[in-house]
Amino acid sequence: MKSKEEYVKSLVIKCLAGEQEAFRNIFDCYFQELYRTAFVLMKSPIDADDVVQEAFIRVFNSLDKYDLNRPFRPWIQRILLNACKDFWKRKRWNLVPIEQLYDLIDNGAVCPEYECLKDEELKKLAAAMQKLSPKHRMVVVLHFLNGMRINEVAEVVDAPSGTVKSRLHHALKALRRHLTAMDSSYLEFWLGREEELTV
Amino acid sequence: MIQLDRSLRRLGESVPTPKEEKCIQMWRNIVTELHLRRLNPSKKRIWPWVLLSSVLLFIIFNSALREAFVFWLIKGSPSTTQIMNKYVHSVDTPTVGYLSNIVVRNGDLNLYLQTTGSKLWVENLKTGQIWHSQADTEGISINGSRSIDFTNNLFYLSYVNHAQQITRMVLPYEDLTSINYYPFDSGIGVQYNFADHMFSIRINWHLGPDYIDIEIPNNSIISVGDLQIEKIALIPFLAAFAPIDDLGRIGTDGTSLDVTTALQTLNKYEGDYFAMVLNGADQAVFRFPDDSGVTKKAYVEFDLSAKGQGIPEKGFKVRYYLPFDQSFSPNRSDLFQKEVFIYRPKLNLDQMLLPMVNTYRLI
Repeated sequence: MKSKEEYVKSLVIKCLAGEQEAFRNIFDCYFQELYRTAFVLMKSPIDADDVVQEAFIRVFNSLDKYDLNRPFRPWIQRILLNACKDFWKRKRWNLVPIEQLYDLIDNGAVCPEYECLKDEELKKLAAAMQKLSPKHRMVVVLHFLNGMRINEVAEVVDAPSGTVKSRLHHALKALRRHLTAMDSSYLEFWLGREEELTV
Repeated sequence: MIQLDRSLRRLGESVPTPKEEKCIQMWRNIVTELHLRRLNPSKKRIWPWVLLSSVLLFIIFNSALREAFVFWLIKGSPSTTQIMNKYVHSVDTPTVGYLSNIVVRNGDLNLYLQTTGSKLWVENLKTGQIWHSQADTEGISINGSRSIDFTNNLFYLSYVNHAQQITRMVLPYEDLTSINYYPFDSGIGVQYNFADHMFSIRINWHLGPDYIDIEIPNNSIISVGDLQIEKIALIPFLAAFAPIDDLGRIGTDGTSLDVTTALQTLNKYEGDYFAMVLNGADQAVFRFPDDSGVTKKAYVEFDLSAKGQGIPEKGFKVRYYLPFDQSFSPNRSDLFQKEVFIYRPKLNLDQMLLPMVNTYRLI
């Protein structure tokens, strides 16, 4: 029984041999995950589309540089993050803040697929997430939202595991701070878990 | 922490899943974009030529800075050999004229990389012996001494398949789709990628002052498809150009194995290959670097000494490390005595001058 990692590596080898269908399979394997990451990082579904598309193009053009001894998932996530960074540089963060996006959704002005984000708690959490620095947001998205292990995150952000843990720790503290500031009801909720906010 | 963790995961799950149509559209966009970029390469690819032209003009008009700019150009060029430049140094007067790069020099040994192929060369400065790793299809002449055609002498692979049968395979060099090099301080790793065979393997060469360690790192074997490799015995053998009569005798430390006995056992499995018959007392020694069993590493060591022909009896050792899994038996000595075999392929020894072709297998 081959793991997903082995399966993807076999696809990479096939792809390098010229099989386009193999790249389609790689796309199918990672599209959802990359889209989820990009969606949370980019604040806008349209930008997430652009970034994911650019990431897959870069993946295809860089497959020959991929080291088969290394895990594939962090590699492809790293490409996505680099695409995000380049996008941010171009756009200089002149984007619609996610809170405003939710307001637009509430007004029915944007696509209805964000209905699920109407949950109050998630809205606040998403808003708090957007206040994190890019470095902190990246590790939180990769670790908590994507379920990547610390060492995998470390590989993606090109930092030691200890640094990732530290960033997660500070990110969670910052999240708590933002949430507390946003809603006094959160104060009671989080203060009791202060000692648990360590990674 | 738990609540926040859960909330964050919920946030991730709440991200809308793209619909099937969107996936298809995205895929079409990617394919189209890739196609367009190939048809219309980015203008960025033009500017290196402009830069190069400018630099060339500058060099012409300012010879004093020539060397600095050449260095800058070489360092900045996006070539696959970039990583090699960090480690590979040119040799002022290479003893091995066929080669251009030396990877490591240590003690009496030089390790060379033939960048036009995947071949590694070992030069013993004391004896003048030159050894090389797997032969390729070229006819080679070293110092005008011999010209050897290594046709059909290619990448050997011996492995145990899913049915626990020993299978032997020879992969022709022309099937190599790519080779990756991974230099490190004491040597270099060479990764062979056979895309058509859906097979990839990496071999690390470490050079010591009087020995060569050859190791297949853990998780460096990638195989898919019909190979079903359970365990592998790779043969990064060394062939010599200097005439070698036999293997040198090895000391008595470590656990000794009567090679001839082992080979007789092997013949039951490998009818197509005859055993390597060593001179009476020659032995291969199996050493266990870590007796505590923590390292779970062992190697087969051979002493490549030169005897006769006026060559000083000063060789070097080659250690073939075995890739182990966690199921490695604690009773290592017995295991090796019974289950490690040494043999050589059926070749014309007189013509090929192959003093040894070693392989090992752990059942």
